[in-house]
Amino acid sequence: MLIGFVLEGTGMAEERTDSALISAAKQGDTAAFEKLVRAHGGAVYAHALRFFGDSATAEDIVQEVFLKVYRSLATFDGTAAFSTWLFRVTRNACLDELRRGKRVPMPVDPVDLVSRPTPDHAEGVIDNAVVEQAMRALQPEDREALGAVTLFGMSYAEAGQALGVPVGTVKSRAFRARRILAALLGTPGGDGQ
Amino acid sequence: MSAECIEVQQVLSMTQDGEPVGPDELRRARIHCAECEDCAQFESALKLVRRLRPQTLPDDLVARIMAAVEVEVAADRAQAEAAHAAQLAAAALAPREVDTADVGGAGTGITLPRTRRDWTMWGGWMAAAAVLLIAGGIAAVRGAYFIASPPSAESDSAVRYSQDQQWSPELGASGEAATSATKEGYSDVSASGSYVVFDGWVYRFAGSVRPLRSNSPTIGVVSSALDTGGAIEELQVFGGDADDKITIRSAEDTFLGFELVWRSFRGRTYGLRSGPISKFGDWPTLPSGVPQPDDPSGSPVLERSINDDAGVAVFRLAGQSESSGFAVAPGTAADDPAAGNPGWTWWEPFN
Repeated sequence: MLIGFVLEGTGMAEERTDSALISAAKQGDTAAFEKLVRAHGGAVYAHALRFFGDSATAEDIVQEVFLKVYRSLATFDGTAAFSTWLFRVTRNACLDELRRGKRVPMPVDPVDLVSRPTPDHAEGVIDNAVVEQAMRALQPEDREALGAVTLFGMSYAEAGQALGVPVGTVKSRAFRARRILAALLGTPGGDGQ
Repeated sequence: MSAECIEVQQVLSMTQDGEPVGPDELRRARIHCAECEDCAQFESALKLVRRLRPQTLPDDLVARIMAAVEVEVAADRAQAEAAHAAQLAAAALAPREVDTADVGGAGTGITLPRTRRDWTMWGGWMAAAAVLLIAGGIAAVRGAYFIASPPSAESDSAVRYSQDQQWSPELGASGEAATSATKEGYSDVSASGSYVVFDGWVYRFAGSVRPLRSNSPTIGVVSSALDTGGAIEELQVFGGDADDKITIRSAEDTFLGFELVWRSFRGRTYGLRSGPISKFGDWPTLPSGVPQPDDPSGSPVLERSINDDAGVAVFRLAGQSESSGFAVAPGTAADDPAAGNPGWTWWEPFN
């Protein structure tokens, strides 16, 4: 997968493949690794934040994930996309943290969202925080499937492989997630309407 | 909701995810959305979700990650160098078949002494190995000394005291008395730290300050003998310009400024907490409620967490978040707020 990033200040777009950055990082180029962190860190953070609902925990997870990635760079053979690999590491880091019982996801009550005044989508009034909160109210498997394709840019097939489920399951989970989001955000078309 | 609506919404969802959708299907969905309010609004909800882009990581988080990576890089490099040295040493010490064969002749089974060139090379490697052994030995001795006799407050605080005096910005009417005290009364302090504990927070002596008005409100008392070598006394505490500064009136009626000992973690100020400190020269201890670890790894009560903003390793209570408090291991660097600390220290969010 080609990840693009913009050189700040110059306005010039520079594109390097993840594999080029990984190759450089494997040779000890920490600047290349930092570019990977900056390019993909947001997705890791968003996944962890939606998982735990706590920014401090999400930051810890981001650091843990990229340290694991750095330690395992040598084993990354490039047969899968970097983002797919990163998604797996991120998912496992969150689940491990949960299993250890150290961090518990903060619950979200969908009622809080449903009781909000109906937003005017045409005006774009609804803010991202509300959408993020609605994301956290999704069933974990639905949220995970939606995050895999929207945050990490994976195809249904890649997401299915990473999640260990058939492609059709990813498709239906992502769809269900969107319908529930539409319902939670006060938009007709979801199950909650 | 009709079956057609569900079908259309599935098509819209797949389009969002970049999955292949036939042009006919897409056209049919567009036509349907133009006529169906539910599906049109579903489509607008998709736009809301699509608008959510992963946010950029804050620079300080990236810096923390890269600092941790640099530690790994350094460790890898050291390991590689050690392995290389070991390899060279092994190669140098290994018998060289070709030499014996050349000298003794193939199939003779006779091993003759090495050539002079071999001995010279072997001697060189031995010398290199000796250097490594000596360096390792020094490190081992220093480590053992640290374990047996952790760096005392003395050596470190001598430096700190000097720094404290330079820091002191305000020598007022009491300046002379304070200076006198600095030269005489605090002479013992040069071999120790200058801490007091107020409300559980550790403050470090920062210099003499101007006398306060007689009616200045006190905010509490500190129990300390300071540097007098005498009995512990209850000394009045006055608030400073900021929460992290206090002023203490000594038994000799001089006013002493103290500053909170703090470190930054995730951009937030964490103050040093301690059990009672009865006099200058005593080091902060773990406050009650924080168990003492059994070994340098923090086990079994502490576990390694991420670094603070200065790159110092912090340890959280097992199973708990470091946000509410964390420990720092003994022996931090000279520029650390708890430099030379011979024991574990405990830090909590300040305000």
